[in-house]
Amino acid sequence: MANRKLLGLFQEPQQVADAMNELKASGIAAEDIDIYSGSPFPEGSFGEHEPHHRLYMFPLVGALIGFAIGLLFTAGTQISYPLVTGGKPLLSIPPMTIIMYENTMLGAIIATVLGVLFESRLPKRSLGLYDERITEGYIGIIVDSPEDKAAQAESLMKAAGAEEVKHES
Amino acid sequence: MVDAAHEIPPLPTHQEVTRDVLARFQELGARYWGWVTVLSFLFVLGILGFVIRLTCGFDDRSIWGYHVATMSFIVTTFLAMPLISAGLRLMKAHWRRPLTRVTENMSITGLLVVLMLLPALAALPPLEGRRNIWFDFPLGAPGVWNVLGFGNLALVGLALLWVLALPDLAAARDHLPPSARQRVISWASLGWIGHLRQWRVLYSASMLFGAMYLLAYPLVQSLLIADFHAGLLPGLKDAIAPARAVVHGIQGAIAMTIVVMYVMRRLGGYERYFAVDQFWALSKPLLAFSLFWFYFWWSSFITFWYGRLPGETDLIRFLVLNSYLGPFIVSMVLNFIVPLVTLIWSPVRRSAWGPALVSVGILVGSYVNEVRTYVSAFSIEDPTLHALDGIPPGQWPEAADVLIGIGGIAGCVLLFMLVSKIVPVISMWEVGEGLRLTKVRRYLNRQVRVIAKSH
Repeated sequence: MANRKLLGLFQEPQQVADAMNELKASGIAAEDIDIYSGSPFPEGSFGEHEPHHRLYMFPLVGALIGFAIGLLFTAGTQISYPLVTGGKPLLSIPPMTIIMYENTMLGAIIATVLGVLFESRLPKRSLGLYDERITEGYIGIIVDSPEDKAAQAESLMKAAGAEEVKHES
Repeated sequence: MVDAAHEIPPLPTHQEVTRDVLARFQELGARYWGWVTVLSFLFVLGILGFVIRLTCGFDDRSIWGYHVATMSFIVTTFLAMPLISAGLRLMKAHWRRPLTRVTENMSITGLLVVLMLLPALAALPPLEGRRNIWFDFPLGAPGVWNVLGFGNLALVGLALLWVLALPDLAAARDHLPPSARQRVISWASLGWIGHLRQWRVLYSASMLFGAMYLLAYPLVQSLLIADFHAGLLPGLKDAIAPARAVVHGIQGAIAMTIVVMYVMRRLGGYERYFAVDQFWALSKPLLAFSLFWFYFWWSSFITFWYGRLPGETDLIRFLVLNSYLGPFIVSMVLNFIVPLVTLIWSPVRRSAWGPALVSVGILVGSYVNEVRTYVSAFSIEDPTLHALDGIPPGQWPEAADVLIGIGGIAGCVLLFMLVSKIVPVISMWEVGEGLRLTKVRRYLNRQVRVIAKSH
């Protein structure tokens, strides 16, 4: 059976928490419910599912790649073209450290930017089911419910205080 | 009954904040364009000064000293400002919320700094024969690695600004009337809708980019002080110079943040966002970093003072007691003595004008200190010597130097004003989040604000 998306718009966070409880009690899985808001709420405020992301892996991987490039570039070139100066060690550690640090930073920065875009699922060409009041402080509950439960989900949200319930066209 | 003096006015709602900030953001009045015109004119004068210097070439290094001092002043003040938001966010300081965006918008000045860096690098003498942190490393040092270090700082600053502005760009996309500016903002918002996953990612990104900025900034200050100061002054062996430069940067960042807040409060009508709370809270670290300013200078000075080798006494005479005595006194008074004797008084700290006035002095002192640091180093003819060959005289600015100084600072303010019409200057989502976490409650005979902490 096809699913249907609904967006309930609420003014008060308490109404959202109540609506979430009712929706989950009606048998709609927590993973099928999402919250849209104009500012973040502490995790678990609405009893919502916790979306997991792996953003922390991106800078780690980027930094490792950057470090490896820095190491290869500095150590590799000095080993490939050995020029011993004044009997000093071939590898000049202090400047290598600076260059490796810079490359590590560059790798981490680029990877984090890419990670933010990927993990946030951005850029998004179409906003989909959305309401502009959300960026003014309204809170939206998005329900991806089976067709047969859509009417019940709508009435539950209205009963909890939804100002409007929008449907995906 | 609640004492009227301790009554707290009702807090605005997220909706009120969004409407108020967007109304100011939308406005592009005659006063705004007037300031943009004046700043553009001054910036063009700066470019003129730069062109005058460029026509003289790079053989005479001393003429580029003021250019480097201006660049370093920007790094020490404007470009250091994102450190404030990064640090306060990592510490979860709630009073930061109205001022974070102001500091992040200043990261745009990183682009100007990278442009100013290129001629500064061209004016540096070859590494061979002089002390340097590159140990004659042949692969691109110092130019390529300076550009990469400075570029990293500019890049992470812009990433911090853009990512943390996404929710507010979305608000502007949703509520501004259709126009070319609205379309640009809409494109820059990348289709942000504010679902749970996006907020979790944004929170993590704010921590990561903040930490990266805090890691990138000391490297830039270290490169500046090592390549443009210590490497050019024969006989200078100052192990804490990079740390001192970072301390100067944090002091300059706080001072610049306070001044910008004060100007926006007085001229921009942002009194409700930049309240006495913000000035009061920032004045405490300002005092602390003014004390650090002296401590780091003293720690550096004392080794030369007691070392007393001929080269060391010459350096003290050159940088402190003789050639640059005037700039040194100005800097010592404005960066340490005035903040100390004024900010120790609670009524001064607990006001908007007090910290703002002290901060203006600190910024003047900082510029003079950068002149003392970099103009002196660039005036040395032969940096390959082991010690100074006599004590060179102090170098006064010429007309081109004045133009570069004015143009550089005007350019930073201009960039800030331009970017502030693309990215709202108040972080609406952060202020909104703070309002949700704050409640006014009665406590005995007065009212207090209770701030919720979820973790």
